[in-house]
Amino acid sequence: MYRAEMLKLRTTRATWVVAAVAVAGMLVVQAFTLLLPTILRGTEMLGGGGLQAPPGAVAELAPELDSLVDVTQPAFQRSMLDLLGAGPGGSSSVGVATICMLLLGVLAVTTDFRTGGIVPTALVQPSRLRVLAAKAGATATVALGVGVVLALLGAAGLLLAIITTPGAGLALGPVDVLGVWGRGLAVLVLLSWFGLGIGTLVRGQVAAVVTVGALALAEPIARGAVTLLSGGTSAAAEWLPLGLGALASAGPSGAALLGGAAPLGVFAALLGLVAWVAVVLGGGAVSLQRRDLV
Amino acid sequence: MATIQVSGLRKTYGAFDAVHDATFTARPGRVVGLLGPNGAGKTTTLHVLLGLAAPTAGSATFDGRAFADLPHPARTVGALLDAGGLHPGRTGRDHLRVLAAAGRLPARRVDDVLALVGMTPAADRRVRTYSLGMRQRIGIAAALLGEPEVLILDEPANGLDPAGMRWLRDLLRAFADDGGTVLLASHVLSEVRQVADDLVVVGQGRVVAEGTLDDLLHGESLEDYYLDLTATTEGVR
Repeated sequence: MYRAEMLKLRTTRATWVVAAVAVAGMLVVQAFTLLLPTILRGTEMLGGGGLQAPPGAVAELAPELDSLVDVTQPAFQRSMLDLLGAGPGGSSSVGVATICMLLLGVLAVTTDFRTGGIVPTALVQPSRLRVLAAKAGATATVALGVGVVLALLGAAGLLLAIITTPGAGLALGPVDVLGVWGRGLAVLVLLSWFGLGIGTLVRGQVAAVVTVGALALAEPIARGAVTLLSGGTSAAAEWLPLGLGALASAGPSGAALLGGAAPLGVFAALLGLVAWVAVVLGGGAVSLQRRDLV
Repeated sequence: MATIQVSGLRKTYGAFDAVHDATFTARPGRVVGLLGPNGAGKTTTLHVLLGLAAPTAGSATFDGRAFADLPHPARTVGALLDAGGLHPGRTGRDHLRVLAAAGRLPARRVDDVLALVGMTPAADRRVRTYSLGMRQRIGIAAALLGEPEVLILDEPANGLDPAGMRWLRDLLRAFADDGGTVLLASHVLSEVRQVADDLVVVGQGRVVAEGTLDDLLHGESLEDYYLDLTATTEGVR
């Protein structure tokens, strides 16, 4: 069954488009990250840049912010290797790779419902849970494949940054690098399964894609609103799924450094995302079992 | 070879009774025509029989087993429903490869059934370039993939040219003569008349006639018999 679902993904153009967009998104982020120090220097020289804040605050924040654009710093290098491609220190927004993985999962199941392909599939494999498990395996495989390409791009970008920066060297140990990549791959797989859960629950392709879009737009807004309303004291919004993914992949975001709620640890975030996936994909499995297919 | 047994089958969607207390049998070696007006419950019956929809009451089985409980569903039942669930961007061959992999069937069967339905020359074209008849042929190929004991076909003649219709008729006849069970839902009465041994006529979700073609028609044309019968049970609901 796994082979059948892999074949479905391989022979569907949408899968390749999603993978290509994820890779293109990473290329754009890498290019922007490489150019960011130059851009910042340029704006400072023009007198239009720099921090517009009281001198005390600037003194407090400057080292943190400098580390986000300083090639020699571990935080910068970690952001270059981050598979979600959220940019230096994270941007608190939802990255292209995140959306692509959600869509990969959504398309893996809703395409079957849109084209009626779920019927011939169910006629040769009546166990709906086996079908869903095979889809989970296939989407995970594609997510891992895309993740490996993103990792190679991240490594190439970091190498380029180090080579072109006088005095710079690799500030991360092998364990750190493998940790970023390992967590990143896990997050990519979990996000694809989250999308699979959404698609299985919603079924309609357009509705499921709109749901993903709404989630990607609404979550940063919700996070900002909670931070604003609680004066930065509530960490409730940190438990939202896409933020957990970003946190688990690359660590605390730039927004958190700039006075947001104290972030969770990366492993707590990973567990939180696992819980979200369990709920949504589990709900999808129950729905698939109980509802008629036609 | 497997016998299809539908007993007291009921399927409701909210307040709508799509199938009401349907009971009939399709035996090995027979081609059974399932007839009825639009909305009579034919397709819903097939959906329940094939495990795609859950019955509200009653049962639909193959040798006493629900479709989902069959040890080798792809080798027991082959079915064509609607347009076959083809992805427009996939080739006909890839569609069959997917199903062969899902049903754990040998990959060589893909080439076999493509040749059988006359689609080998077009097998590597995307489905979106196929005519309706070509899509039907791929759907029939999918139904034959597992060399099943039972064939369940919903409007298989849709879009087929005259040569294709004759080919289909010969295929179904040969399949039944080899001991297979065929359940054929169709509106093309002339085709049903030429190939069916038995008839099940449904109207308003109920079985209104069941028996051999000869016993039911008494020399009357199938069209007259069918129209008389369904006129008494009304048409579209």
